[in-house]
Amino acid sequence: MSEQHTPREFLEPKVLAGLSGLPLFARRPMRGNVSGRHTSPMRGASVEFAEYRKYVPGDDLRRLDWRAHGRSDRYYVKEFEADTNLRLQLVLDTSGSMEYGSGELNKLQYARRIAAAIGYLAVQQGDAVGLSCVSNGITGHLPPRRNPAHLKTIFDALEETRGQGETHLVDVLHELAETTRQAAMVIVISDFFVDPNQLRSCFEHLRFRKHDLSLFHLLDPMELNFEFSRPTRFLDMEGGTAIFAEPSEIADRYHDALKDYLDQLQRIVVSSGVDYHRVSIDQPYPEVLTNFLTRRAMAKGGR
Amino acid sequence: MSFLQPWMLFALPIALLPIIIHLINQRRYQTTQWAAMMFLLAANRMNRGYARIRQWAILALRTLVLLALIIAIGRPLASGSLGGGLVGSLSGGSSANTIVLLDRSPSMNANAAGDSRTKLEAGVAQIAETLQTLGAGRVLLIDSNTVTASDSSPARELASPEELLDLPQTGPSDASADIPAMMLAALDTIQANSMGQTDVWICSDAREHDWQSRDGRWPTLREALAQFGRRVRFRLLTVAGTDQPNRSIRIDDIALRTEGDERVLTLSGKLQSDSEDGDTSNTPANTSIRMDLDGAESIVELPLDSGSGEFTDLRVPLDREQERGLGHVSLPADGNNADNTYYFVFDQPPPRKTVVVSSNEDVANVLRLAAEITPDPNIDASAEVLLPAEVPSIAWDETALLLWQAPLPVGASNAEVRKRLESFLDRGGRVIFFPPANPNPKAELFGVSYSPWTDLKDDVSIATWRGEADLLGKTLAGASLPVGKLKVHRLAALSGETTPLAKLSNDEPVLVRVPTPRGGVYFCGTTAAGKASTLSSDGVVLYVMIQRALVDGAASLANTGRLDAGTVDAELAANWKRLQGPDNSLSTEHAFTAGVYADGDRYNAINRSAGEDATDTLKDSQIDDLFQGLVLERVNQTAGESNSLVDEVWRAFLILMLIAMIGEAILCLPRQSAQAASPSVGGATA
Repeated sequence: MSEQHTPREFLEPKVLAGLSGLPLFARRPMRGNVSGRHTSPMRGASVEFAEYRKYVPGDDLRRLDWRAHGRSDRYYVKEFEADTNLRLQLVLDTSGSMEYGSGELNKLQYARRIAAAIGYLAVQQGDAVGLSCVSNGITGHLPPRRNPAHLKTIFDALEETRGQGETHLVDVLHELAETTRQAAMVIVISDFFVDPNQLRSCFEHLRFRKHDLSLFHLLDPMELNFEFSRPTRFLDMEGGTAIFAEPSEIADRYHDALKDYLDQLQRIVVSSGVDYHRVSIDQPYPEVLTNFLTRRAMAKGGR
Repeated sequence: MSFLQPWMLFALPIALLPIIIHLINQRRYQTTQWAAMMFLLAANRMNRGYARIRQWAILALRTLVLLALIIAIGRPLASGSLGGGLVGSLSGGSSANTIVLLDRSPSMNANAAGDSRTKLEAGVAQIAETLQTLGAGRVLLIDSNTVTASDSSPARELASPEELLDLPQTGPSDASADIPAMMLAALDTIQANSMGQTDVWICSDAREHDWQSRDGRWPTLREALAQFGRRVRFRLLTVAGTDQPNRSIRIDDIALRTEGDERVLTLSGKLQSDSEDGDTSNTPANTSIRMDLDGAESIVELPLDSGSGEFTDLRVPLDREQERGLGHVSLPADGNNADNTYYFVFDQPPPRKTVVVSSNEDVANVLRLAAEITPDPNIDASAEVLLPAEVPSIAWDETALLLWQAPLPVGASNAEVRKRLESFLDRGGRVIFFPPANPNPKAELFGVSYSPWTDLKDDVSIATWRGEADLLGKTLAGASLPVGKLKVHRLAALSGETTPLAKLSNDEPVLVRVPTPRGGVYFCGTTAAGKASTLSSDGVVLYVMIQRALVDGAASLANTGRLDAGTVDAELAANWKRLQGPDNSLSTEHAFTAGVYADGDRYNAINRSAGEDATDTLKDSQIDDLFQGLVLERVNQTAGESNSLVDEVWRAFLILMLIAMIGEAILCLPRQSAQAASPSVGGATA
């Protein structure tokens, strides 16, 4: 198993060890197929009492609450909350624009780190992890499995991802909303360079399918600040037309456009109940993840 | 606007540097891969008006900064009077050579408007300061007196323009200026020194008397100066005069008379007011003048009805013993103090002694009578008739006029006579030659010889004569002498280089003047004999001729002289001793400074010339005509406004530059909203 010794550049054991203490919680009940640490919409066999229900023929007699029958002369079935695992679908944007990075890392490398860490954490706590790479369409898809060996497949897939092609995130998200079984956890890592109004429908579609949607919105500091000093010819990384601009002249309007976009996106995520994380890729990603996990733990959903 | 350093304007294209840098910057763009194209596209779609205007404004301000800096270094002048605009300053700027023509005539001593200085002082100060500001290289001064005094290079080179303020040659004087002569001197200086770009500053008040606009030298000057084109530029500085009224006093005639036991000095003259023809309200009606007679001052009331006018025979009683004296009359200070004083000297009139040399008794008699009878009974006149052989016995030192009707004293035997005659003429004596009975065509004296007598068939009258001056001049009242009535029967034609005073109708000169250095030699082509002409029968002309020559000749015998400033040889006058007059003048300026001077025993009174009292000035159009074809810039300056004719305004441009820099900085400041637009990162959860 010499391959396992090959260090993957996006995996840092120290970071993973540091994060391992933090559980990954879903914000809403998940429909897993084995028991796990997440609440399930189903009644199950946990120790946590949920409710009494009238006995109907066919119910397991073992679950009849005889004490209740003694008190009320009626047959009740005592139900308990179910704990289940979750299915985590990581959606990684691998369009050309993700290759941009003005600093040490580009967005895709940063995204790999986040995806790998979350995937690792999820598998560690027994959840199933899948990966979808999207650019023009779904360029790679691994369905969620909780098998630890599956993690390797995911890491391999992550390693092979290359940023190319245009972003067709909207179509892909609609497709994933449909194809992923209900009540899964969907984490999209992208720069979201699409029209926010189109994203709104995706987010609502995913919500309708009872998925717990989280977004990592990766932005390069250069994209945020636009600090160019010389006239620049901007080549579209996704193959569009190039634009020649005098930064000092266009900067104001760029900032206006960026602000509009971000404000709009902010409104959409708030209204569509999305766990949204805007990340400047010069931030250390462990910090971003810690923040993400902590907030989720605090916002852990009820049944 | 003009510039002191106009060559700096060649650096003006540097102002385009920001634009060039901008264009270069545009060309050397960088290419970068970019992900967030949607924002760039959105930004491109937005209204780019403000941003573009801001860019342009920044570029414009940067250009303005450089422009203002370059202009400030170019030392701009606010006054456009000097440069002739930008083109003028580019082509010329401050010239390497500057010639200052200074009119020092008395009229320039009038007070300048709004100033305690005279026009001359104000003008000199302004020129000095302006030249200092302009950084004039070589400065030459040609003042009106030096031009009159010396024939060779009247231009004086100055070490610096400030020297103008200290030089005695820029001080006031009483001599009239001769502007054409000064212009000629400037022309000579330019030619002699092969000067390049030359500015000729003329500081004058444009008095007609000084400028002599009808003088024949002007067309020549224009022609000569026009060859230089724009190389020679004239700048006429006229300083505005004050509104103060001005009066001038002049003594035209002074005579010492004995009336019984008393001696009386009679003065005739003129008290002139410049507001004579207009408003007399501000002219003081005071007609009293201060008179200084041999150091004793008194107030004398002039017999005038108004504040101005002519007075005759103002009697001033003298000491019985007094035979000669000196003094001056003066007016209180007014608009021009240079014409407030008039110096005079008086003496016993010298005897008018005439010597007639003739062997023809008739002619000699006529001549003697004409010389002997004076128009004024107070004057002694005597005439002596001598034969040619008695010539050596002439008392030359007492003789005023010599009438010579004898063979011309030529040949070795007459060398002594000729020598005496020349010294007599040098002293100022007058001599009129008449043709002898048998003229010798070879006998030539003063370059003139008589041809043998010719009988004129008809009685020929005198057709043309010079009536403006000299022996045949008009009377004081302006009436012509009846020269035309004279008939000439016989003529001994004159040959030689002469100035004809009267010509016959056949164009033969009958009376000529010989152009000798001192003048005073006349040749007449006929005699007073009845068969030769009607000179004796129509005796008026002969009488006037002889009396005039006699008066002129007698003046040389007098112990007093009345001279116009500037007409005396300056070197001669430098040796005179000043008896009255301004104390601060140099001895070399004696000839140009009014006062009383002693030349040995002789007293000379020097005063401004009569023309100085005329207030006619040239109009602008007349000056333009005089400078037609030449580059003339007129600088009219009111004294007291500022000493310099030019105001440097580079400070304003520096301030403009600072404002532009601040403006540029403000526009270049990163916008506050841009900072705000840089979004915070973090999360949001519904």
